[in-house]
Amino acid sequence: MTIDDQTLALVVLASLDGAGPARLKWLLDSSDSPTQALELLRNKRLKNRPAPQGLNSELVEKWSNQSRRISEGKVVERLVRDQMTVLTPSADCWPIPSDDPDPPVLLFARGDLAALTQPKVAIVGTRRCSSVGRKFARQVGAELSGLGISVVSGLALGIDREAHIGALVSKGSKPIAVLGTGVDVCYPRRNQSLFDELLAKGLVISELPPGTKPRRWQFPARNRIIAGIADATIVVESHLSGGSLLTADESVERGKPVLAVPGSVLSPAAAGTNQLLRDGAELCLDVDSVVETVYGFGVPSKPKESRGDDKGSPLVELILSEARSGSGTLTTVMSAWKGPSDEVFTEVQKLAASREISINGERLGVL
Amino acid sequence: MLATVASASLRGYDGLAVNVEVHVSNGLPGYTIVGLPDATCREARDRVRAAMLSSGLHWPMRKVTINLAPAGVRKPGGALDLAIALGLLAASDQIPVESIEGLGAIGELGLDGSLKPVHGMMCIASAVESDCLVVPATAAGEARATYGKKLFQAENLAELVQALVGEGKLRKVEAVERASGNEDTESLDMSQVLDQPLARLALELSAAGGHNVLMVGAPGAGKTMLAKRLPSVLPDLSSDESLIVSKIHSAAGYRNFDGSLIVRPPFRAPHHGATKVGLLGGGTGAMRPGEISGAHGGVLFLDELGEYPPRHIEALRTPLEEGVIRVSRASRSLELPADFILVAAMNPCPCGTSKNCRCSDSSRLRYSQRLSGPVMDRFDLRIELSPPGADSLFSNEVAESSVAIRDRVVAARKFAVARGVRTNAKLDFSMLQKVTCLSSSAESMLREAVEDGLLSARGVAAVTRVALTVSDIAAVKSDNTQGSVTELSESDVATALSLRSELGQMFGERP
Repeated sequence: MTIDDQTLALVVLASLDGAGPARLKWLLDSSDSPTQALELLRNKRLKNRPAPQGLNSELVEKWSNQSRRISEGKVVERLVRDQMTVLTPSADCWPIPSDDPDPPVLLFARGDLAALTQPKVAIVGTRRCSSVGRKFARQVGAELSGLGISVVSGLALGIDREAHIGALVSKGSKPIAVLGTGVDVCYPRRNQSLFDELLAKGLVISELPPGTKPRRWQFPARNRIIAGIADATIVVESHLSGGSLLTADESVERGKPVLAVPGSVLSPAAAGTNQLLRDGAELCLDVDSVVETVYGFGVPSKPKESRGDDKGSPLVELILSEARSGSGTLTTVMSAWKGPSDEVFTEVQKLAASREISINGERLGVL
Repeated sequence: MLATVASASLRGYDGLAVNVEVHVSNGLPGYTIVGLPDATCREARDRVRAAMLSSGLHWPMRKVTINLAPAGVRKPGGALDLAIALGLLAASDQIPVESIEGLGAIGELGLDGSLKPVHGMMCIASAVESDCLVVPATAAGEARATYGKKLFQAENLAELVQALVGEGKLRKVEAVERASGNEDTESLDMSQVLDQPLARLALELSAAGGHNVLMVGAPGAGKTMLAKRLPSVLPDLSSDESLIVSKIHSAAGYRNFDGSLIVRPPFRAPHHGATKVGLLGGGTGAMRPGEISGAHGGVLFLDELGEYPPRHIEALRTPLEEGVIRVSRASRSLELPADFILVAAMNPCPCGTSKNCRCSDSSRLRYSQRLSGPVMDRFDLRIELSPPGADSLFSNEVAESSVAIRDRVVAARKFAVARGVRTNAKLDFSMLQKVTCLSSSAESMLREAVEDGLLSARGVAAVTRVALTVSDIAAVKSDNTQGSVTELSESDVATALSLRSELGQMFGERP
């Protein structure tokens, strides 16, 4: 990996303790280039200018000392070791439009950068989601991914997690996770296997320097990047004061469509999304409505995979219809099918192997 | 004066021969029992004294020493009461010493002199080293089942003493016919199970192949109902098994026998509050067989598996593997049979409702994590159950009865015996490879499952075992026989795969 001096200086500045996006911008504004800014900081020759809240001379003094201790060689070594790429606005695949009101100064990325050039839709929602919300997130994630649209989300539990899983299961486009930690930190830890899979099959990005531990404020800040890189944002479920509403706000600010999934008026997990709909968000009923709202055309009907001689046999039809009904189980198929049960098992396993249906315990479903 | 009476006390599910030696001599009146009696046994001094006085007998006001030989082994329970009483009577010249020569005695005494049955009569009767044996009338049948020599019974001490001094006659216990027991479970029949074709199939395979079953489902899905009916499709116990099972149940004190042996496979369902010793066996005195030994030859049902302390469940791993439990204590160790089919039931999440679940992700995860991977691996069959639908609740169709299923199970088990094991579940991987081969389509199906990360190497063995049982049942249905190497078809493997859900899938976690 090659990294130019300007980017390297930027990484060093971004690695300073407490140098969030706003303060980083203040540092960079002090001179013409990042290298120069770093030079000035190290020599304590920064000009006195109005500073963002909380940035005082003591902190600048601390940064100055810290910046002198950071060795550029070590930084490069670490980036290479963990296969991290640093993206700046000048990069070809820089995913944030130039008119973004609050763009990050740089992005760290791990995984396949090709993911950034695909059309992207964000799927976000609450961590405390209902089982139907979970199911819908996974389904929409899988279907969008199947259409070649990259699913962007935040690697949180709940809706985020399901959206990522759906996208990974359907093996379509490459999913993108935008983290509120460094790109080498998995938070929450429970998502570790998902995190690994995203690294292998998709892309993980963050504006925070490697090694950054989770802190509260970083997650809302991460939401603006999700809104910034995605063509539209789908909120699947949200409480009345949920972080996903912030993502929706950021999306609106950037003039990008916001879609919300309607939910029961009795469900607190749907209160936020219903509120969004009242405030004028687009209705998200299925993947077709998403594509139509965001890209302005209908979805070309999927060519069904043919499976040779079994296609259209009454048993296959029965299994598929049970799977699509959403409440079908192995038991319901066995009860409805008068023939021997081993026929049912054989077909179900075949359909599952060709990914036309999914088996979850004994529950059948479609991906 | 010295007198010796043969008796026995309980140890595990076997008897330990004990010689009760009674010595009565001149000296300060006193009364001691030596030879490691346990608390119950030590209290025999007071029971025996009161019983003798109530029976109109005379208490020797001399120095009395009782030794229970062998002296180094702890003797539990009240089974030695009668032997102590007879020894005392002989040693104090109240009955002739010749009258108790070669006579063994087992029985607990009441303060009124009545003879009471003891736990494990079936186990200890056979251990007594004597030419004939006298036991309480209420336990005569049980003693008869294992004691091969001349057997007498008595209601109380007075009756026995009268006979021994020649004023009456000892009542003989005739051999009884060994009738079949367990009528209490025979009212449970698979025909009472509505719908649930998947679960019915799983139980049939479990019975035929000895596979352990895990059922996950919302309350009301019928998990407990199904599990209770598994014994009804199991074949009768063989005569050897029948004796062992009866002895275990006698030793554990589950029931008093009328002399008939248990021939139907037992069903034990310990509550999750059971202690580890209660489950596995042990304890200070007799080393009582635990619930898992009680289920030997039958079914051990653990309802609400997630509520059992994880340590207890982990402790089941070795018995599940080896079919025995070795209980080791400081003083001695004991091997108890524990070869059972494990049936476990569990809710899909702590709240237990399949729809509108109120559980958070983390509580679901914690719940599913109560089962370790190694424990999960012991379940060849893992199914998810939903409550029966309205159609089946109100349909008039009568499902297949247990008897019909049992016939198939009996026939299918013969194939396993031909392979050199009792059931297919006992086939290890190398044996499995010798007796099965996969058809090309079956192999590709399994290969795909492995490549998708759904099956581990152990999982492949489990699926193959179950597929073999599926094939056995299919052969029984079509009246075929199985050769020395069975080719497993695609549908056999598909069935086995469908009946083996991953835990994560059942608990709504990621596959």
